[in-house]
This record gives sequence, C-alpha cells and structure tokens, in this order.
Amino acid sequence: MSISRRHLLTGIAGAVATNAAPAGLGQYAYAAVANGQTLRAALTGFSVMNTLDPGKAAVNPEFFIIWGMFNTLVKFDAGMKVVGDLAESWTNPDPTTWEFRLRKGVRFHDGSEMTADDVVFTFERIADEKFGSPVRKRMATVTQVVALDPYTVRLKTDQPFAPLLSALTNTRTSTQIVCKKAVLAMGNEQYGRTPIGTGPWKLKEWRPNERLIFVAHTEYFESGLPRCGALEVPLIKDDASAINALAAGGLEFVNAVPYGESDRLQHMQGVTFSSVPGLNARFMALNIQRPPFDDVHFRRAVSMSINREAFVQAAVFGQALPSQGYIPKAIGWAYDDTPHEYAQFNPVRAKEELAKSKYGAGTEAVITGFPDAWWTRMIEVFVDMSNNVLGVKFRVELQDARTAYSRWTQNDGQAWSMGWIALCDPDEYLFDCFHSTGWRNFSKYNNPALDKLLEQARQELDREAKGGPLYKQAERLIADDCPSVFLMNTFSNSAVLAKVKGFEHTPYDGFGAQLAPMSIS
Amino acid sequence: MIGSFAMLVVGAAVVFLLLHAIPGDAAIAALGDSASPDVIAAFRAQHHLNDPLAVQFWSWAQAALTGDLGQSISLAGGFSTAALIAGSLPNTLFVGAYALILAIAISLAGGSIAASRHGRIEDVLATSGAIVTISLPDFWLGYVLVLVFSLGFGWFPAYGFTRPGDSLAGAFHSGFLPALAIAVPMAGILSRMLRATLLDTFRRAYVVSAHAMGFGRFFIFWHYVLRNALIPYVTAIGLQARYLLGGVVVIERVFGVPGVGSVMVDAAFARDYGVVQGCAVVFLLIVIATNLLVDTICRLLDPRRTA
Repeated sequence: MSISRRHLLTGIAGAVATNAAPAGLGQYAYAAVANGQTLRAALTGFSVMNTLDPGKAAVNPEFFIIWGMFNTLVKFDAGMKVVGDLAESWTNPDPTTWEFRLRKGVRFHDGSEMTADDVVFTFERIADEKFGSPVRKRMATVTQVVALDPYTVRLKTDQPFAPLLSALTNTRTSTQIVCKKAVLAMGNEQYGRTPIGTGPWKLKEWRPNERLIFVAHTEYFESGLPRCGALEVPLIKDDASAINALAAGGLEFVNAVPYGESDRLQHMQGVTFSSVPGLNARFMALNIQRPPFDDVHFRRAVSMSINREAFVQAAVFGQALPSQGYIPKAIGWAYDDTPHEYAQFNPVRAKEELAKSKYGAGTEAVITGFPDAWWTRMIEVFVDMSNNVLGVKFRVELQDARTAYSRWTQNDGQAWSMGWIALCDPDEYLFDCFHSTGWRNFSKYNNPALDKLLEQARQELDREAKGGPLYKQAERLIADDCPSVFLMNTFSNSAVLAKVKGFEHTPYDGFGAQLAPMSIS
Repeated sequence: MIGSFAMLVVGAAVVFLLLHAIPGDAAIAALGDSASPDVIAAFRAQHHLNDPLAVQFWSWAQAALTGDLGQSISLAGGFSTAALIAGSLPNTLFVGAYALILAIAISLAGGSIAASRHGRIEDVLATSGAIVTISLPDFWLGYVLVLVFSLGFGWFPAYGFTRPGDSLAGAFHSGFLPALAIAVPMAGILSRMLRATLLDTFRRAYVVSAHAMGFGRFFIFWHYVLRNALIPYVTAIGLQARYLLGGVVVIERVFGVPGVGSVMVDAAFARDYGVVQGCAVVFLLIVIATNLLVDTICRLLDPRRTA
C-alpha cells in the first residue's frame, strides 16, 4: 500500500474533526509562590475581564476584583447591614441631603491620601456623559456632590431616594472611590488597566485571560489587613479544573463551586465548604406581548405547573431555595414569605387556569436558554414539568448566553431562562424590572398600581420598617400577574482549604472583599 | 509568496464575515447584562460597530497592513491584540512542540516495532493500543491523567502552567501532562501511519534486492526503509501541527495553559472581532510557514524532488 499526501489529508482531516474541541473558557499558570504567604484564590467560570476601573466596570468578574482593590463610602457587612467603609458616619439633614464624614489617613496605593476631593471627583466622573459610565443613569438622581472640608462630603439628590445608600456600597455599583491624581495623570484608559485604589490589594500584574497578581497594600487603613503578603487570582473557566486544583492543593480558595460538586466537596478532607443563599433570582422571563404568554391565565397555569421543590433538586442538585418572587431571602426585611397561590405547585388549579385561557393543551412555545451547565438543566426541567402537567408543547432552544440575552433585550422570542443579581436593594429588583419605565422591563410590563407602589417605596428612607411592607405588597401584585415565572434563589457556594483562616462568606459573593482577612496556617 | 498573501487576505475576510454572520454583540459581552440601552449604544458608536461591514473590514485591514492589529474591545478591553497574542502564543508553541516531540518519540518507537514484528504479539499490542488512543476523547484523557498523576501520585500540578519565560524547568514540569494528553492520540495516528508505510516499503523491490545483496537488517532499515517511509510521516506531522494551534483548546482549559487557541475562542464568544481576526492571521501565517517547512523537509528526504 502506498500513501499519498492527498490520502493523508482526507484521512487526517477526519481524525482531526473527531478531536475537534468543544469550546470552554479560561486558563491559568500555576503560581510560582514567592517568599511569604501567597493566597491563591480562583475566579471560576470567567475568563473575560475588560477593565478594573470602577467607573467603567460592568461584568461580574470585574467587580469581583475591584472589591479587593477599592473601597466605597459604605459597605455591607456579612449580615447585609450597611456599615461605614471610607465614611465613618453619615447623616440625612433632610430627605434629599446626605452628609458623609470620611476617615482620616486613608492612603491610596500610590501613597497619597484619600480626601473629599477624590470622592467628589469619583461622582462627577460617573455623571459625565462623555466618560460613559454604565451606571450614569442609575446615579443620575445625585444632582450635586460637594466637599464641605477635606473630610466631609455632601450629596444632594433630586428627590428623596432611599436606595442611594445601597448604591454607595461595595456591590456592583461603580461607586468605589478612585484616585483623582492617578486618573488625571494616566488617563481613563490606562487607569482601567493599572488602577490605583485604597483597597487591601495592590495590582502588580494583569495577565489578560490568565490571572491577576497582587501584593498587599501595606498602608491599608484597616490595621492588620490584608493578612497574606500576596494574592494570585487565576481565571479558571472550567470549574471542574478549579476543583481539581483545590483538591491537589494548588489553590486555597474557589469562589464558585459547581452545584454538582457540592456534595463531593462537603466530604472532601482538608476542604471547608461554605454555602449561603445568594442575592439572585432565577426565573423564566415571559414575553407578555406575544402568544401564548400574553394571556394571564396561561401564565398562571404554567407557574402552577412547576413543582419548585422538585425543580431545585433536578436542576441544581438541591443547591437553591424554591422562590415565588424576585426579591431574594437574603434581603429579609423585604422578602415575602407568605405562600402565593400562583407560585405553588397545583396541577388541578393549573389545569383550571389553562381552561380559562385562550390557549389549551397542545399549545406550542419556544423557551430560549443557553448551553451552560445547570442553566441547560434549568430550562429542560421547566419545559418537562409544564409539558407533563398541562399537555402543552414547549420546546427548548439553546443559544449562547450573550445572544440569548440580547434577544431578550429586544423582546425577540417567547420566553427566556434568565437570572438577576442586583445591588442589594429591593428597588433594583422590582423597579428596574417591573416598573413601566424600568430599564430592564424588556417586555414592557405595565401595571399602574405596581408603578405607584414602587415609586412610593423608593422614597421611603426608613427602608426596613416602612419600605419593607411596600415591597412585599409589590411582590404579591407581580405574582398575581406572573410576567415571569420565578423558580429559585440559588446558593452561593465557596470552597476553601481548611488550613485557611479568616474566611467569612458574604451573601453578595464579594470575592475580592472576602480575601483580606484570610491567612494560611 | 503572492499566493500566500492572497490566502491571508481571503482567510481574514472569511473569518470576518463568518464572525459577523453569527448573532451576538460585543457591547453586551463587554458591558454585561446590567448595562442600560444608552450605554450599549454609546459603546457601539465608540467602537464603530454600527459602520457598514465593508468599512469595518477595510479599516481593520488598513491598520493590519501596517502591522497594527488593533485593540481588544470586549475580551480584555484596552489590551492590544498583539500583546494578547504575544502573551499566549509562546505557551501554545511550547506545549505544541513538547507534545509533538512526545508524539514523534512514541510513534517512531510504536510504528517501527509494530512493522518490524509484523503479525506478532508486539504488533497486535501496538496496533490495538493506537486504536484505543485515537478513540479516546482528549479532554477525558486529560482528566484521567490529572486523576492519576496529580491527585493520585502528586507528581505534577493538577492545574496551571508556568510560562517558559518564567522558568523553563517549571514549563517542562507543568507542561508535561497537557503535552502528553495532546501527544497520545496524535501518536496513535502517526504510529499506525508509520507502520503501514514501513510495511509497504519492506515489500519494495529495492529492499528485497538489498537483502539479497547481504546488507544487514539495521542498515537496510535505516538507509532504505525509514527514509522513504518518513516522507508521508512528515507530511502527517505537518498536518497535526496545524491542529496543535487551535484544536487543543479543551486541553488548554483542563490544564490551564494560557494559549492562543483559548484567547481566540474567548474572543469569538465575546465578539471581539479584532482579536479573532488577529489570531486568525497569526494562525494562517503559521500554517503557511509549516507547509513550507514540511515541503522543504520532504524535498530533503526525497532526492528526486530536489531535481
């Protein structure tokens, strides 16, 4: 037999095709540990990061890192209470005025002192249309920021705006205080790659798509922190690889444990597994503009066809709380735990509602989701439960996450599996997503009674005592109409080597914010 | 030369059109799902994403001709494409070459033994071993290697790669498992091929007459058989080398090798058109160079072709 080059080409092309790689994301080079303690904390599931400038940050991995490099005026503690961060204290002389008293002697990574001037600069920068901050509109309620003296700042809002305080915390808010001097010296774009903050970790090197390397900020204002001398953050897209690395001792901390691995990690020696309900909502967003979800009875029927307890087991190995509304349980004061009829599994009632609707059994609909681990299972289980109980013919359609999301924003499709993690104020869940003017209300849900309630609630400065009942009432109005089918509130699962001390799990998954107190024994 | 250049231009254009044919949006990749529509619109305007496709391609091509591959917009915003490639290509080349050397070593041994012990137990073992390794999914093999050699024996890191520039010894150590995971299926293909060509060459008239002349077995194998059998073998290696560039993304993921294939895949998901284009051009250049190299080696091996 003789083999010509052409034969080879066809033969090997076939062999190569069978080897063709499905796409995953993420990679990291293993740490060449320097002298002293280096904490290796992996960000799993992500590999794309565009900026470390708080004013420009938009996606989760960016915030995860920014929380370790910057501080905000106030922050959430582990119990989700707002406490001082760069601000020592604050007052409301009137409902539209907020005065913050700053800590003295806070140093940026370049050694300069943080003062009211930097705070004013930070907010003016976000408000500047030319700068193009993703949060500009959200913060547009702040009309004036002035430095009364080097350690006092006054913010004025156009109307009483209670969610302001949570928008000033160390969550996905972009209100981390930047260093005016450094921004002006290096320009916005460079600042996004080599940022200077006040946080416990100072950036040493950013290897895009691979890892970030930090050293301790020795002049950090919280004494004794950070405990480790250096920090490495590999970006590991493939979470199974991250768990292997942890098991082999190549990492100290993994921020997001895949649900399927939770059980294994709970029993793994030398590893501490930690789980708290996250600040998220997982749901099916329905297009109320289009058949069949334009019919409220049909939507209620679908919602009642879902056995949420079984759903949680099947979709995420039980690593979630079944949910009937948008506001997560972690925001306890606004969380409505009275069982709502249409969010309870009830096949008989579901069929009654179906009978009242314009559409019957056999109705077809396409549910769009994305092919990403449990997200795929979530949509499959949903479709299976609805089809079984109601006899409808729902179909699964998978597209990559960004395409699915962009179709949702254009209201292109019938239903989409989606999730939302807000800034930790109920306003960011309900107003943004269900108020008729909410920017995230893509299917133009319009309920005047709800609008009124939400407008009233965001003016209520006494958040818990007076705002809380309003949000619970709003959740019930939404549950009556079912513009989305709420499914679950997934857990935030982390794993840390047992030899690591000082880990405190925050419900908002504050990756970078959790690392400073951690030490390796 | 002109042919190669034309290939580059056509290749870049095809990649560009394919990328734009799939739905998706760089703005959403960069800004996430918490960005409001006006911010997304501003981003699109800033990065000329609303311009006609021809205009976008022309401005990219113009800059690329002067050696400027532009900047990332949604993969690692602000980093230059050249820097992203420069940071990842050496790792890909290192692990690729490492894998290739392992694959060549394994397949030369396997193929030669199988051919020279034709029909005996060694042949059966080598041939069936090759079939098994070709059929294994490479990512599965990767996890098995981690399970045995990292979590089991603790000889190699379970994850992560030391760049050759940081420590060459570290690169060889941390790169061994990924290189092996890539090399094993490749060695299966190559050794089967080598065995077949060797057997074919053994039966050639000039080999038979060399035996008749009384030359030693080893002399015949080395001077008459192997050299001729190497021509299709080298061609096959050339084709495999192409797969090493982008086809091993899964292995890069499993072991955390920050390679250029992963950059390109991430960039494609982030709809970072410029970065994908830049990687594609570099891939094309390398493939063209590999082809030239393979042709040159084949010419050296086959005296008839030098004429």
